[in-house]
Amino acid sequence: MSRHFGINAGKKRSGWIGCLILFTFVSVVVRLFWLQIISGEELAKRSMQQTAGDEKVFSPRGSILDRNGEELAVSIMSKSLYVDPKQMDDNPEMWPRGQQPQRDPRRLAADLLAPVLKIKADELYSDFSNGGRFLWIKRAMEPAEADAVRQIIKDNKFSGLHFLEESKRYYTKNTMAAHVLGFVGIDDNGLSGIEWALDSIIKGAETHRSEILDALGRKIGESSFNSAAPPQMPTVYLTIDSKMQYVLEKGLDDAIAKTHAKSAAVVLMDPHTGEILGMASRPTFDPNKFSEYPANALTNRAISIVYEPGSVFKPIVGCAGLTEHLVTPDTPFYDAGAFNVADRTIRNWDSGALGAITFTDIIKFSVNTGMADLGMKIGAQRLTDYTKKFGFGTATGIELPGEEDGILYDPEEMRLPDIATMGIGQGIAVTPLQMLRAICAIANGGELVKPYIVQKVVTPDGKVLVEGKKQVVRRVIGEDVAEQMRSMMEQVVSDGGGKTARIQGYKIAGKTGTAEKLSEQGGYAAGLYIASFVGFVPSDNPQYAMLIMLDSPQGVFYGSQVSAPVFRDTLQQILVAQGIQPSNATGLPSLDTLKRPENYKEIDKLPQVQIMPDGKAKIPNFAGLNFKQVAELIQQGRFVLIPYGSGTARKQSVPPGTILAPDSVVEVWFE
Amino acid sequence: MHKRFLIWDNPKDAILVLTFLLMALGCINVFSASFVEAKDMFDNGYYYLYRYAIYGAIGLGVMGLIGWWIPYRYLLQYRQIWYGIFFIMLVCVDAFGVTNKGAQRWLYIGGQSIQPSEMVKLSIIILGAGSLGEYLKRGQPVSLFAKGMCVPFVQAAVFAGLVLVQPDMGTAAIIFALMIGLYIIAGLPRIQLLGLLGTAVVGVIGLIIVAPYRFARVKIWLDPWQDAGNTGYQVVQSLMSIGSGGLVGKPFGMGSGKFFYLPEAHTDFAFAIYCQEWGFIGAVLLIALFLVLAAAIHQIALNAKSEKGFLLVTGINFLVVGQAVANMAMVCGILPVIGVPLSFISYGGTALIVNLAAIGIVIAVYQDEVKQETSQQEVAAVFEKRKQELVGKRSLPRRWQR
Repeated sequence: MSRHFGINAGKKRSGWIGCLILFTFVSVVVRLFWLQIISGEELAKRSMQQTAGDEKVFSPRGSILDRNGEELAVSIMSKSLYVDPKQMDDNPEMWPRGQQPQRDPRRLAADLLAPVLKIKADELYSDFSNGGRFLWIKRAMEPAEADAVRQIIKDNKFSGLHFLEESKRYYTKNTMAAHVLGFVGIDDNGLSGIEWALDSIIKGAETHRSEILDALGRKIGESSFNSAAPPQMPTVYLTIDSKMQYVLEKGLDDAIAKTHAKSAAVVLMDPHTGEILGMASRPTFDPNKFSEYPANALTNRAISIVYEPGSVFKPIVGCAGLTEHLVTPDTPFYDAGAFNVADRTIRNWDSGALGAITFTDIIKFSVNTGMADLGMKIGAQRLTDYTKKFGFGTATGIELPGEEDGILYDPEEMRLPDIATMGIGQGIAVTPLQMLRAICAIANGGELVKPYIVQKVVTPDGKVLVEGKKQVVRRVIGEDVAEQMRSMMEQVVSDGGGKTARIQGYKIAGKTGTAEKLSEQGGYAAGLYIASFVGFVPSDNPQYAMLIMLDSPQGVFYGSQVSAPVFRDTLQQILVAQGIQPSNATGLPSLDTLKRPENYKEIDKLPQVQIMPDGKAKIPNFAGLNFKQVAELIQQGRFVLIPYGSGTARKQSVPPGTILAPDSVVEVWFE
Repeated sequence: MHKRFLIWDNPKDAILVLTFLLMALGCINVFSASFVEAKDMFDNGYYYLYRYAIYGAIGLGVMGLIGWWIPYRYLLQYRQIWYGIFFIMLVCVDAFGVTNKGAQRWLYIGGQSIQPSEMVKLSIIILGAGSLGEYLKRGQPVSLFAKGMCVPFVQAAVFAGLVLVQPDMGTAAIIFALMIGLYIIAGLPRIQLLGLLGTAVVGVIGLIIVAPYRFARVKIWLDPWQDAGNTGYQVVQSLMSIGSGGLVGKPFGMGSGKFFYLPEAHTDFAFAIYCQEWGFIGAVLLIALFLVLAAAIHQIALNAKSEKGFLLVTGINFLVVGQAVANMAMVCGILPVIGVPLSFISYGGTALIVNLAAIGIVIAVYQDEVKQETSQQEVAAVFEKRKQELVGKRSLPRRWQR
């Protein structure tokens, strides 16, 4: 038997192969040594890099509230969906053996998600098939939507679709105070209004959070480290009172509906402190969906447009004249119906002539000729100086963006007719806020205050970052002059051209204005007017000052006819809401007296307003209640109250138990 | 055969202990490597562990059956029947097998999936040992071209071809390698061996050139980091997992590879998870276990008097331990990725049962050899006794002859 071919030879050969196997084992050991001991740390680091998920975590944007803490703009964290297209390939690991479906995951995902996301399936499909590793699909989704998407992903085991949390802004009162609040872009950045102005303070904070993730991007166990929650942002309190704002907005809407004006603005201010209690502009928008609106709806017409104020400017001129001792309230004047200067003739609004009148009458009946005369007497330089002193020609500095400075003549370039027309409020361009502020200087006794809209900004732990307070810019006129003008303006309403603004029982001071509107092409637009009214109440110690401006009302266009009634109605609602009783013959009690508890008559059981499911409400019996209680009940039912007299309620126009829709008018007689 | 093996009385005890140890490690590793994926897919972290245990129990039963009951020569005798059965099974897999991860390897029988190619690997050993053992006994040179001698080779080629269709190049290569290994041991002439190697090299290069994905695989093998996101992904993940294990490994369960990063974490790449969690020391320990197992099986082989038994046991050594080292080499990047599981440690029902059956065969051979030796010794003892008697008897008459 040849040695080569026996079992023993075979055994020897198997020994050689055994050596080969042993050699392989040794090389494995060497390789492992290399990998684990020598390169171990580096490989571990690389492994860490791929598993550590660095996440940006946001805190929600700071809330904006009204002065009473009512929510206007709030943020919650919402989910945003993004795709990692490369990761969408079906990973065979995900399926139990033999059960991997034959499918195109991108196509299927696109088809399933399209109806939920309301995006076209083809669009989704092309997004999923894109190159790259990150693409937003839909940001800031509603919670229900995000849950539905999450469920679809889970049920179908899609990979490559992930969520990030982002701050989403909700404007709880839709269009209310839209221009003041502004709106926020998709990256939580304020784009206008307070959102823009205070963006750096309230924008959601960003922190980094590291945690260990699995290959599908999910957290492994309790592995979050550095998981400190991001700090909560401060809250902004505006000086706006949302109840008053509601009334103002409604008033504007009614005015536009009645007059078909192109645009409008209204501002409500505290004349002593400069706080803005309400500011509204039309056309308006819903900040929740600001991108659906044209640019002109986004403009805050209270501060961002200029117009020629017209007769509303006359009290300013009057104050100048009084201070310069050129006139007194009783100075006589002869109104011939026309005033000639150089090549122009200035007529009164009704083209009439009142003959022999006093200066007070000039203000009362808005006599153009008299004011033009006064303007000439004051002269270009002085008139411009006073105008500037009253704050025109410069932005007020309110904490909102986009404020216009207004346009004044250079006094040295003014021709004689220009001075005359300036006297009647044409030939200068002002913003509604400037105009109101100037009137407030008259109302508060001669100080020009800086209007402000941010009451305070408070951090979650109570620290006050910003606090608004009264700032006096300068003294404009003396107290005596102010008082004189106030008295004249009161007569405008009680007896003069502003009678339509009268509210029984309240002492209101104001001024009407009907100005020709500037045309885009230069000069004045024929037949188009700006109708405005400015006023404050109570006239001897004003608490509220309001200006309302309507641009191009159709049909009836005089300020006294269109703006003043709006002023009256809205102001009445505000006064009712605040519980300010109309005065009786002996004069209006001060607000402080009114607010004292002993002046309220307590009734054991206060009747309630029953709200029906469809929003209508049942009128209770008001008999025996005092004014404030009636006002409160009216507010609950969202009715409109017209009160008569003062004291306790005795009679009501609508019997108790009647069911009325909101905004219905209810008259109550007090004795 | 009665020689001691290290600390054990005999190699059989060693093998049993080692097998249990390996299975224990396998249990732990399968659980650790799979619980994340199992929880995610089946809502039950123990899913794979549970199945490993069941298959293990069945395998142990088969091992017991083969090792202590059925004489192994029956297996050899009816090897052609095995050939027929597996041939049909492979055809079935190719025709309507279940696809998973790009290869059609499984058959669903009665709700459970089995992998015939694993069983084929063992059957190759049996076929080869049965046929070639004959020639080894006769002391004939074993040639690939002789009429009867080429049969096992052709059978292997047929199996390999059927498996290649799945497509599973790795297993096809293993089948070939196992058969060639048996041939070499049986005494394949060197020229033919060289010729075979040459053909293999040419063939492999040809295959690589023809199919671009194979070429990419080679490139990736040489430097997996160049495409760590895609084709090199599995190797890179494996290397990172292994490397991050360091000296003593990461805390149990916290190896990050299995968190969907490392594909096949509980099957072909189970070793990577093992290395991550037990570190270099753990890996060396496992290798030592395999080496000792190989040594024990080798001792049985060396002491076998039956040629067929010898071939059988040596072939099984290749199957169990040889595959193990091949898997380890692949997982740590020395070899390109081939679909070879790690015996006892990887999760795979059919493979586990097959490996245990193979151990059973080794035990059966051992038992048989011991029996043979014992009976030979008994015969020799009786003979010796008789001889002594006769010698004694001769001495007796001397007394009265004087």
